[in-house]
Amino acid sequence: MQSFLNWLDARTDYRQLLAPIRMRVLPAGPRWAYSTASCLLWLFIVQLVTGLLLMLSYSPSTTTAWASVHFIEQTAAGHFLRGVHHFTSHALIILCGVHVVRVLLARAFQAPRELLWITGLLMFPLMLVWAISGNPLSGGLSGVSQIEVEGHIIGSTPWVGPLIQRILIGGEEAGHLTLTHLYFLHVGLLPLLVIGLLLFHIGQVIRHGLSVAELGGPQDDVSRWSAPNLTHLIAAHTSPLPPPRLKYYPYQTVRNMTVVTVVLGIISAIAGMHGAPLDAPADPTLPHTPRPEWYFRSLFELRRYFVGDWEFVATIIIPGAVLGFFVLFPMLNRKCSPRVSLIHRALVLLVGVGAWIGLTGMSYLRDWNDAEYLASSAETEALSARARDLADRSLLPPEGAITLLRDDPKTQGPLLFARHCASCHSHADASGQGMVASEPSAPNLHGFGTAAWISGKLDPQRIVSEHYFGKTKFTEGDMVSKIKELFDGIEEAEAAKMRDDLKLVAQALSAEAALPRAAAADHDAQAPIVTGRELLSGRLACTDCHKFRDQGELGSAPDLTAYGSREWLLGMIGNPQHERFYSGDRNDRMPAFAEDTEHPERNLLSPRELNLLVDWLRGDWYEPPTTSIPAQRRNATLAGN
Amino acid sequence: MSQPHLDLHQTPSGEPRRGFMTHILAAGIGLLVGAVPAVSGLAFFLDPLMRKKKDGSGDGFLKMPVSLEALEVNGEPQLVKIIMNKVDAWNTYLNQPVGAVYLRRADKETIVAFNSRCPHLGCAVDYKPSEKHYFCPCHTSTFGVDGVKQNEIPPRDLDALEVQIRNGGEVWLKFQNFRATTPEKIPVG
Repeated sequence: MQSFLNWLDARTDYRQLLAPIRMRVLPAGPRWAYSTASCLLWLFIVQLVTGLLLMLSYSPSTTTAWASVHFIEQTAAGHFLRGVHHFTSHALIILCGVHVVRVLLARAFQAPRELLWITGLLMFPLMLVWAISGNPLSGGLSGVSQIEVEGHIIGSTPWVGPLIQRILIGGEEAGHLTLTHLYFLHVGLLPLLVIGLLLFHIGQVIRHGLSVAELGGPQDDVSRWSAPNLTHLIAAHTSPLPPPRLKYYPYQTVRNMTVVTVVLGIISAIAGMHGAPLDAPADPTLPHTPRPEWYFRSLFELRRYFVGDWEFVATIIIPGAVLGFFVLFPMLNRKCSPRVSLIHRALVLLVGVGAWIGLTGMSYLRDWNDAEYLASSAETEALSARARDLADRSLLPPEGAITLLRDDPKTQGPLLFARHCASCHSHADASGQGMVASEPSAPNLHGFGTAAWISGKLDPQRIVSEHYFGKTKFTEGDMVSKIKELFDGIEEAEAAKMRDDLKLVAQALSAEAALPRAAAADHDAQAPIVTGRELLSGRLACTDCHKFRDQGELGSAPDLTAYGSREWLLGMIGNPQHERFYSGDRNDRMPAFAEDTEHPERNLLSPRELNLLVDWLRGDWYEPPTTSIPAQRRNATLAGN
Repeated sequence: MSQPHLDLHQTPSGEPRRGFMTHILAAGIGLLVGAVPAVSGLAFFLDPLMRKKKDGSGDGFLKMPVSLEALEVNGEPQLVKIIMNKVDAWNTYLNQPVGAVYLRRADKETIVAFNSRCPHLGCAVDYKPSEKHYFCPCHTSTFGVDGVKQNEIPPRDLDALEVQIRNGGEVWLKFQNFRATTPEKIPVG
């Protein structure tokens, strides 16, 4: 072994290359606090490795980005790696902040280390940009809205702003090129820039050796430690020999590695348990309130105080001035005595950190007290969970993930109902949950077609309530009077029998609707359904007015054949005045939403929208099994660990 | 633990024993930190090897767009495109051409089908009516009309596929691809 290492050293000089670490001596001994730099470097390497691995399966375009990220999430390893990549980006930003504070406190920016300080500071905003350029790559709702807003902020810069915005977004609107451009930034340009600065930064650390604090306090002869240093360090090491405990390796190294292990352990635990977020696929038609990441919250809050033409003060002038102040800080601080410098630095730190925490906290407080924002973000989370459930179910069509929610009755139904129906109809359960029309003037359609809903319509009291015909002209009509007649002048015992019969009729009619969620119940209730059908056309004489199968005629009342079925509802909403429903002037104000079958584009609802609305009214949508596939997979992962 | 690699770090004066333990600790923690991303990274990298192709529904037979009667007894092979749903990572593409087969009616009752992929390196073979053989343009493999290889370039004969005649004249075929370059027929996927 030794002879091999000698052989290797003779050819590579690796011992000399490693000398800055192997020979480094810390006269004041190792410190836990010195670990920030090493920890940053290791997390940076973790980002490079996990990022590189994610590139194996990621595909940047509006049709593939979300789908490929969801694909990555399907495997335990992919889920974990993406989680580590996501949470390490946050950890890097926090640690960058801690590192800057530590360097500031140690006055480690003093001559001749100004360039070390400046390159470090320049890396900080680059890291932030690097992080936010990664968010939209998943093609998710919040990431894409963020980059659009950030694009407009850049665009508001005088002169060059609009040009940079156009290049960043790849045109006027977010699309394929936005993702490829951000990808270029995220995996190409920014890594090169940051790695370049980082190498220079580390080179400077080696060149200048130890800072004042590391030497054990202010020294008169700083230059002793900042002379051309490689040979110097070795010389310092060999003659005279320092006490071994003061060596950087392994005494500082073991501290560094412990800190890195703890930090990475925390990141891995969060990544394994929660994974990186994946929002619903970006879609401008979905409701969403964008918010910046936590590290930009202070600027987001600041922008509130500079409105209109003054906005650029918050978005450009102040951040630029703060960065400039810090870059120039070593020059400003140079002539100060240690005591004045300490006051100087403490003040900067207090004001800086205080302002940052204050603005950030204020921004979050504002949101936590904003019921509308909270509702909107809960809605975004619900949409996101829904999109993931749908994507877990089957592979995507070539048009991509945007179709998941656009073709989902559960998502689109309420939006369509709110836009087209809710001015008259409510859609709310018994406790009032759901959509309540401000002035209901038509039946509440929650549970339409179920036996419970039909039972209510066949009840002499409830049919005239506002949930059914109460606010329509039918409240004076034949249906209401016939139902009332059924109960006219009969004994309580007979009335109870009548209620039971009507329940059977409701069951029979609900079976006509063939609701997917009632399939099992319908199947188990064949006998009552048959009895209900007989009552309908027999003793209760519904077919005097209504058509039901081969009994009765069309024209005087809605057809009860296939009542509430998909096809029946498509027809009813399409054109209620059709003779199958409320022919001619029997119809009470309900518009025809798809009357023109020849020219669907002239209708209020397109065939697609009409289908989505009907499926939603009938509760006909996919629901995932109670333990979803990713939950099972995650459990398996945890068990495996 | 073997001694030699520690020698490197020892100063001539010798270090206290705690120094030795600290070396081990530093190296051990370093390995641990590296292992977690390395293992998950390797698993992610090897994902294509672990991913199993999902079985399609049914018996795997497809109805061909030609009937038994449409093919001449002992006539020339006919090239038929295979149209199936294609699964590509996260997408399903409906009704895509996924390959092609040569169908030939060997006698009144029998249809012989060959996958058009050359068993050598997977190029598509052409049927040359003038030569009465299949010819691969990539490396000049040739096969007789019965699929038997006629030179030593391909490792095996053309890959025959299972065919069934159903309902008195419908041609149903089980489409499969096989691994190239091997003397045996090994199904892919």
